[in-house]
Formats: sequence, C-alpha cells, structure tokens
Amino acid sequence: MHPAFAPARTFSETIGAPISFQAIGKRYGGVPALHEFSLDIAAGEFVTFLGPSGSGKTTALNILAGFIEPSAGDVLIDGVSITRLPTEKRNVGMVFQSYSLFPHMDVRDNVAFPLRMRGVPKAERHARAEQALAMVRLAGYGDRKPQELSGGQRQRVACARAVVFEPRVLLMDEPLGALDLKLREAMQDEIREVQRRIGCTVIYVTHDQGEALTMSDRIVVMNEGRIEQIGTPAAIYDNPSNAFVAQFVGETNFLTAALARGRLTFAGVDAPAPARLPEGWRGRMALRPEHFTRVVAETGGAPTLSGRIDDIAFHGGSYRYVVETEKAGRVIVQEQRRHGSDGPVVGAPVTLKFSLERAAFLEG
Amino acid sequence: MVAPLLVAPLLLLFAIFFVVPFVEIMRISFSGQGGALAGATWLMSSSLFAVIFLNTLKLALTVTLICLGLGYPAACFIAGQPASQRGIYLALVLLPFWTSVLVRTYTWALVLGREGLLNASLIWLGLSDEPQRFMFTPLAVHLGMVQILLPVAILTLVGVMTELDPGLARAARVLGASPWRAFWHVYLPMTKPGIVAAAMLLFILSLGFYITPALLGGPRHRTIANLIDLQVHQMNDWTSASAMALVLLATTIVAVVLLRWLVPDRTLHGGAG
Repeated sequence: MHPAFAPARTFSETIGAPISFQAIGKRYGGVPALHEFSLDIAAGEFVTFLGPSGSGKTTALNILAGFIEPSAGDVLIDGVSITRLPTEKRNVGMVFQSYSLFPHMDVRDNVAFPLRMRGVPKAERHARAEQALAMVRLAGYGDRKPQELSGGQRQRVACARAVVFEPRVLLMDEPLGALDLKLREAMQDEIREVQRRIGCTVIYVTHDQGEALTMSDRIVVMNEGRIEQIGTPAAIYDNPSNAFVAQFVGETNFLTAALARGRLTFAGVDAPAPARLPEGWRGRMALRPEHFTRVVAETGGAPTLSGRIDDIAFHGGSYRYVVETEKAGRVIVQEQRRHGSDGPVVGAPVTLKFSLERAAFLEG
Repeated sequence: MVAPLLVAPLLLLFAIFFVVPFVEIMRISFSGQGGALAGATWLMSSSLFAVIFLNTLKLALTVTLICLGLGYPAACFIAGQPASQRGIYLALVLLPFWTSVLVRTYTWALVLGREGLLNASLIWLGLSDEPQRFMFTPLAVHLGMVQILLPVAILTLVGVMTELDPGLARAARVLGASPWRAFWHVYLPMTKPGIVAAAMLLFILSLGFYITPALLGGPRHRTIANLIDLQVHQMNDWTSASAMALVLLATTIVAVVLLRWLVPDRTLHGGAG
C-alpha cells in the first residue's frame, strides 16, 4: 500500500528507505557542480552532506528531490530508480532553510497540505496534522498563520508538514540556518528526536560542521562537487583523510613533517616515527587544539613545542588560546580548566606536549 | 519639521487641481436652474444615461477581465525569466505603453477600417468576399481598450509575482502537488493581491475611458465619459454633466470598497514572511 494511504499511525514504525546515488554528475554549462557522486545510505540512517557553499551538497539534495535533473547517473530509493519521476511522485518530505510555509494558509492547512495532495479526507488530514503538530510540541497552534509564529516555531511547523505523510525519506536543506545559536542547538536535539520516532532516512545539508558532528550517523564531507570523505562523526574528526577535511571539520593545527630512517622530524623536533607511516613519508601532521597539553616541568619524553601565549579566550569549561611557537608558527590550543591549577597567562612562555598517536598524517 | 514640507508641493497641487474643481463640480451639480436636485432628477429620468451607464460598467468589467486573462499568463512568463532577461520583456510591454493613447487608437482605426489592414488581409486570404464592418462595433472598442490597458495589467502582476518566493511552489511540488495543483493551491492564491490591485486599476481606468470609445465605438457605443462631453459641449448642460461625474466617482469608490471586502486586507498584505 502507498504509505500516504495507510491508516493513521502513531509515528513509531521504522519506515525509512535506503537511498543510492549512482555516479551522479551535474554540469552547468561546462562547469561541473557535481562529479561522479556515489553514495549508499542505509534505511533509517541520518546522513549529513557537509561542505562550503558551491561544494555540490545542495545540488545533490535537489537532484534527489527532483528540482534538478542530473546530467549523468541514477538515484534509487528503496532500489527503484526515481531519476525520471516527477518531484511530486517521489514521496519525500522536505524542510527548507527559508521554511517555505504557505503564508495564505493557517498552520493546520500548511501541515495538512501533503495529505490533501494525496486525497486524504478533510477530517482525517486535520487529525493527522494535529498529531504531527503535537509531535513538534505545537499542539493547538493550528489556527495561527505562519507569520504569527517565531522562527523556531515556523521551522517546527515545516518539520511537521514534511513528516505528516510519513515519508520514508526526509530531506533537510540547512533547516536551522536562519535561527540563532541557542535555538539551533535545541532544534538539533528535536530533529534527532523526531527522526528517531519516525525512523525515516534523513539527508541533512549544512555548512555548519558542529551541527554535522552533533546530529549525524554519518557525514559526507564535500568540496567543489566531489566527496572528500565519508564516515562517522568521530572517524572524520579523528582521521580526516586530507587537509580540506581536517580544516573544515573542527579546528586543526598543521605541522610539516618528514620521516627518515625511522625518525619523524618536524618543527625542530626529532621523534620516533609512528609505526603506521612508511619510510620516506613527507607531508603534514594535523593536530586538534585539544591534543596539546601545557606542561610546566617534565615532558616525559613526548615531543614538545615551545613559545609564548597570545590571545586567550575563556570558554567556561575550557580555555582556548593561541601560542606563538618558535618553530611551528601559531598553534591553537584548547585546555580543560582544572580545579586548583593556574590558567594560561598572556605573554607567558609555555611548553606544549602532545602525542603523535592522536595526530592525523596527511599526504602533500 | 522638514517632513510636512516634503508633501507640501503635492498637497498644494492637489488643492488647486483636484479639491477646487471637485467642490466646483459638486456645487454645479446641486445648483442647476431646476434647483438643488436638478442633476439627480435628470439622472433618474434620462433613459440615455441609464443605458450608457450600464454599458460603461459592462465595458469596464469585460475589459478588466480580458486584460487579466491575457495579462496573467504573460506576467507569469515574464516573472519566471531570469532577472537579467526580465528587463527585455518588460521593455516590450512598456513600448506601446509609452506611445500616446490617441496614436494607438488611430492605429486601430487604420487596422479595423473598411479599407484597413484586417479587411485587406481577410479578402487576400479569401476568408471574405467583401469588407466587413469592424469600426464602430463593441469589438473595436474592446480591442482598443484591451490593447491600451494590457501593459497596466502585466506590469502590476509582474510586480507582485517577482516578489513571490519561488521556493513556495517548489515546496508544494515536493510535498505532492502536481504542477497544476501547485499553481492552483499556492501560486494563484499568493498572486491574489496582484490580481486585486490590477483589477482595481483596470476597472477604474476603463470607467473613465474617453478617446478610444469615441473614435472606435462611434455614437452608438458611447461611455459615460463621452456622454459628459456631449452634455457639456453640445447641450451646454453642466448640471447633468457634473452629476454624471459624481456618479462615476461613486461607482469607483463602490468598486474599490467591494474588492477590499471580497479580498480582505489580511490576504492583501500577508506576503511571505
């Protein structure tokens, strides 16, 4: 049975569908916006397309939604090609950055719109709209006009509208981009909660790496129409596969390094090389700000960098400061506050220790 | 203190060229030789006025509807073009708009006349053996007025349509609406303010049309404006002319109020937001 015509359910069953992008290409004029984009997404998975503007993430999403026709390749939902299917027949829910609520309809009619388009009788679609509104904690707001709601409320209405017909795939195009930070964090939790209850497959597009790390089962990092890396948030954070990913996801300090005769040399330091690196390797080490520890006396054999503290930012539970090092330029350090110990002082000389085990080694 | 001064020239202009003549017309219409109600009495008793008034209303209404019907799809098309190319199409719409109404009306006379372009073409194509009568018919008046007013309809509608968030139609599509239903349930209702604004403008402009009906309609298809002219210049009857002018004004006000009532303010100003 067509999911839209299924009897009203309490959003609880797993209804997600697997999605497969198969070598999707898209060119505008001669310029490729998306190149050989291939990706398999499991049923019920929450996948984020992360990248700067122009990376192709929105193009990929719009191809799945049917707003853009790919120049090459095929998209499958639940094993069935949808590339030739008109947008309205793809049965996917979608939330937009600009909310795109219909200003001439009240909230109830907005949420019930997808059901109306699917021929659901009025009484039933109103009941289901109310149910969807309750899920996003907006029960009783049905009679309001979208213009009378706050930004966060509008986006929750947009979410309710996108899931009211129980789509197996939910697309979210920078849905929180227009909201302020606090609200954004609250909405991140809420969206995950809704997704867990419905079980639909979600593709979430954002340029906010923090959002991607918080929400996703897997992240697809994109740049200039290509996939740079696919992985879980932790895998991408800990093992960025190249400099772009290391820089785009989280903060990174790069140190140029070379390995010769079992020793790794960088920034005037000479340390035993990690076993995973081949002899003759040259490239850059990527170190996260929290990989450094400020040491007062004994380093215990770990490699160190020394310099002076510049620019300290107090972050509540931690400090974030810049160290002007003698041999490795500016290094960003994040330090947890510890009870009873002195915090960093601007201008003070400092020695930083770190472990090569946690560093990511990038070619080139 | 500066702000009131900014509107002072306009207020002065209005006072001299609108309020004064308007009051004068009021005075004339209620102070004819036959007493204060002479104008009203003439209106009530004149069968000529009744017929022409109804014809004028009918003409204004049909011209408004035809302009909306022809202008809406054209405006949709123009609003859907990329901003860089929209200017070209708008210029094409504006070109006739910049041409004098008199010139455009005479051009229609050339096209529709006994020896005109239309008759010549029909005979050349073998569709007609002898010249058909187009001048001084309702068809000629409608054609002329629609051609003159169409740019007003298109420009008003394009203005509203380009303000619309194109994302809304896309949202409707992805949520399950076919192109036609996305238009019917989302695009059309959202352009309603434009339709209402255009309808008001067209109707009010049509009500006062003078040159085009006079030249293309001839004596048998007069409008109120022609009748006013007739009363003033041929009959030298300023009382009835002023009374008719007031009726025209009242009709305009009623039309505006009616449209406002049919389409409440809330929808007129409830843009995307």
